Amino acid sequence: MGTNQSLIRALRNGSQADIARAITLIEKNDENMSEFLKLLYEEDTTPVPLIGLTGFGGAGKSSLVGVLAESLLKLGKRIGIMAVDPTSPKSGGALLGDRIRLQHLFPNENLFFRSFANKGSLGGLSPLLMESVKILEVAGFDYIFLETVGIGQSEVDITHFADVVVLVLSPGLGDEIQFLKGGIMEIADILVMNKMDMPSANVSLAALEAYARLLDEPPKVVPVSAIERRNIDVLLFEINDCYGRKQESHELEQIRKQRNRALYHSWMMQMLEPILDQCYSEGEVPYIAAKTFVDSIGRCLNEY
Amino acid sequence: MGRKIVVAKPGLDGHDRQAKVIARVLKDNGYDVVYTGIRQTPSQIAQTVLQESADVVVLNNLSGAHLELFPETAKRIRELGLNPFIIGTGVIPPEDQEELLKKGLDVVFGPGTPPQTIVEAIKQWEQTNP
Repeated sequence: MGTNQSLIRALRNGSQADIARAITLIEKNDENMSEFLKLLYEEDTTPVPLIGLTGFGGAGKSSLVGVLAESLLKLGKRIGIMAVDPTSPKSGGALLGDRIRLQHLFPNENLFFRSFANKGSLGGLSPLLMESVKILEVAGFDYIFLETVGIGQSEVDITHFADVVVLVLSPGLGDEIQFLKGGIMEIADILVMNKMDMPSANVSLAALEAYARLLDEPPKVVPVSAIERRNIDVLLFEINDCYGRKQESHELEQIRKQRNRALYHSWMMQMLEPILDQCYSEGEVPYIAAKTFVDSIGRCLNEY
Repeated sequence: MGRKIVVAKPGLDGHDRQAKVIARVLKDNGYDVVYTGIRQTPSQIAQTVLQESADVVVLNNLSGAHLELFPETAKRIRELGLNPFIIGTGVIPPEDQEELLKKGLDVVFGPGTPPQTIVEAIKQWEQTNP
């Protein structure tokens, strides 16, 4: 009991060593975890803007997070960044390379960066990632950035979870934009065309703007160049503006409710997974096996 | 739960093929590997190890500055109250290896070491540090 309480106290003071320790406690499924989480959720926290960045690998998400953090650090803000990279389906290992883009900002007491492997979680955002947001909130950060692994199912999940969703694109992605039309493009709050320093970037920008205008709720389109630090202040303004509007319209409250529900789901899936495997043996009809299992849970719930 | 490893390049040495090969071999052996990129200071590396809660740190240097940089980095890491398994790699002559072991490194590998040898060293350490 005592160690958990002192860990929470240390978190309130924003100690980096203790933030790392708290995340590891959840990562390792420590025996103290459930008590720690109970105490964590008793904390009164002011909501911290959670900015989700998504986009194809190579679009420049990490570089962009780096320059956004750099600008905010100059304003004296405290920044937490969580970056996800894919787990190798063959070895189960992962190469986490997102730090490279902003290592020059360290050492820094106001910047906390943590890399995560996605562990092939199909449900998109793992409970670990979502609880880490809570830890960073308690630690009193001013902004939290979540950089996703790339484009896929989890990118749509991020919208149930982040306060502001930023889709990062780069010039020459014509076909990919076609591919995105039905998905994340519709739910991103801000579309960023990065690498505006590249030749013919204006053509790609014009195509993106033309597309964005056709959407029901046209998102802001912001052209930037992360390496030339071009238009980063405009992007920051749009992020803050979007957050402010969602705050006024009470949309943020909705997002936070969805976040807890999504977290409940992902914990549930994680806990069920080993049991589910036990309840199927070879030769059974898959549908019947699944239905028998779910029906038996239903009966338990009625008694419960 | 897989172990987390930070592969770091202290100093001004800009050649990182070797570090990338090591990072990749470790990934292929099931570890979560954070690569810092080149030109890191000892305190940058120490803060990385702290933030990532790394279990193992692999330092790599090819410029000959290992006698200054490796012990300094190990010192900064341990000053933060961390106790990861610290491995030194790169162009390290046999006569320097003994000295590095006295100055805070747990194991040191010189040129020509098969990557798998590094994996074996980590596995061995894991057995005594569950």
